[in-house]
Amino acid sequence: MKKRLLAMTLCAFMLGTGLLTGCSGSDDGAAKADGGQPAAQDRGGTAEKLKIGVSLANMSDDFTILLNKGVERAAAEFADEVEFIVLDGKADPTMQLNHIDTYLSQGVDAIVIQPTEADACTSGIELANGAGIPVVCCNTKTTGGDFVYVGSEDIDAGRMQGEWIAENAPENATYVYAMLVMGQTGQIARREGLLEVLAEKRPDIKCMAEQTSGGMRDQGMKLCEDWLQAYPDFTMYVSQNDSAALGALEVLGTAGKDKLVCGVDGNAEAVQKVANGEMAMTVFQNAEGQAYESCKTALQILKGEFSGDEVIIPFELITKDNAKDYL
Amino acid sequence: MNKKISPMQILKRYGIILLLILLVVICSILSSNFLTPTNIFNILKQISVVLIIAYGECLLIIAGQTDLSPGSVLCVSGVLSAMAFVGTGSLVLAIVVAILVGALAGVCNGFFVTRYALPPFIVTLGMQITARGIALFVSHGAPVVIGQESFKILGQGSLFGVPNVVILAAVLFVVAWFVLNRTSYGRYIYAVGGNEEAAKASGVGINKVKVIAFTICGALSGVAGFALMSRMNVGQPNAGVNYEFDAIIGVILGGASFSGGIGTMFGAVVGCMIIGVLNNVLNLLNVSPYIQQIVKGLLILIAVVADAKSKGQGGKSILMSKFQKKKQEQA
Repeated sequence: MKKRLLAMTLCAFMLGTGLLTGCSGSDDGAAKADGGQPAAQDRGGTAEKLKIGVSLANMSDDFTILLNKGVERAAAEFADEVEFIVLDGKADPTMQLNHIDTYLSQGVDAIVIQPTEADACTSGIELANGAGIPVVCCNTKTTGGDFVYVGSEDIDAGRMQGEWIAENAPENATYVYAMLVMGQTGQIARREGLLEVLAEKRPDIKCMAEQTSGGMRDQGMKLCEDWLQAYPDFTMYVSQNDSAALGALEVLGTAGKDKLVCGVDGNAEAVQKVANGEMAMTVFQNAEGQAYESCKTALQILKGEFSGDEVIIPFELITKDNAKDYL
Repeated sequence: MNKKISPMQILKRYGIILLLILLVVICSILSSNFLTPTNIFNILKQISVVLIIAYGECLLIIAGQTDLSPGSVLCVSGVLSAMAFVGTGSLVLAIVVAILVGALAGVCNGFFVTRYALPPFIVTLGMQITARGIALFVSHGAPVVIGQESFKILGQGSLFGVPNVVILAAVLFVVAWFVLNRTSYGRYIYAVGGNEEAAKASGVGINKVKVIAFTICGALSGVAGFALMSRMNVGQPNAGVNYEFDAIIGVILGGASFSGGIGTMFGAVVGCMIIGVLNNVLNLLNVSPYIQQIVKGLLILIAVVADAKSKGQGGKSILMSKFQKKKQEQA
């Protein structure tokens, strides 16, 4: 009895961690979430299929889940030529370094990585460079190593918000600013882009307060409640992502206040609210497209069809006029 | 069990209230927006979810246990409850689902802790990870969007100007206070936490007391999950991260001790209010997010010092007394 229960507990734990790690990675036959494949297999001459190892940052995160969809699309499309192996970094750069070790010993032909951290993942990329394996960085650049970057420029998301505000905000408007986790690339670059454009085009617009929502909806709500107290007359709630902006909309709705709310991401609920006119604007980051292009670029490099060092997937501005196209 | 309150404890109990009053006075001087009815209700609204968890944590901590899973359990309960609501449109069913899922997680915690004499810290950490995984799995990592207005009645509605979620937290406080102070179960909680061996010798079913406490904490996490999702008007699978820590810090600030046997519901509420007031005023004053983090870190240190003081044994006593307790058990 005791043994059986112990076994059940262990199973439960394994299931639990399994759910965390592989929730969407292993559904498609082509994208294998298991790193335990023997390296000798492809030398056995079964086929001349290429192997590309993909290391994603954190499959518990909405955004990474969208990226994985792009990988799955590429895996399905290029199934005849390439086998994609997908591993989950669980937001831990050390885990991603292990992935690269695994991929190198498995003898993959190329590596696609969505780095969890710009600095910490650099050594892994240098390791792959040393082994002569081409690397594609998806969504985030590392600070060192040789790689081809496929993704968007975060600073552009900030600039797009800035441009929209510059055109649409009333004179002497004020805004409160809800940022992502402090120190994240997205937080720094999006802020830089926003401030750059506003300083240039609309010096009359004033920032009343800036805080971090951590990108979370409940924190975005708290900030909005507190700011309505401290600065009841602010014109705009500008958020670096949609979750916090949607939280602010809930608060503003209950309080019966009408403010312009701006976000970034273009998630389904936000696009719906932009279409309804409740939310002013958001910026669409094409995660699925980034991952798909990353995989495609890796394949092109292997075939010798690619030259250059980056592929930029542009952000897209969503306002009431075009929101219906994104639903 | 006789409840003898030493002068030291009386000072402690009033000390925390004095601290809160002092904080409120300072805050109202620093910010003219602080002491307004809307802002007070904002603070209460913001802490109500943590408060509901804190009642459960308070029971457990007094019983010498702890639970690290409420943040995740509230999330999985809330997400499943939101899915149940979207599927059936029944608010009653949604609430029942939230409470049952939470209670089930609590029963599991209690079972493993008592049946195999495992440390609650590890068991509930396992539950924390597992529950978060399930929340992400069932929702495919994406928020469960609620179409209908009725879901947010609890979280965003109000009665005579008082937010419903604050009323809920107040009602649950009365129930929790009653259970802890006016029932034999409440006395058992103190007995188990104060001296487990003595409690056992006097015929208290220790394991039963613990399992019930974990179950209550789980069920309260479920209620908190429904309240949070209703407030946010969405089933968000990454919500509630670290809520248990706010609750635990609040309980400890309020005079409870990790060593068990000491603590009050009232203290837990005051402790949580101190956290809520601090969070609020830092935002009102637009204090840099970096400094906010420092302040919150220092608060944890204060809570731990308060914990050590409550045992009257100086700084290193908490771990030491745990070890001594373990040794006594083995002997």
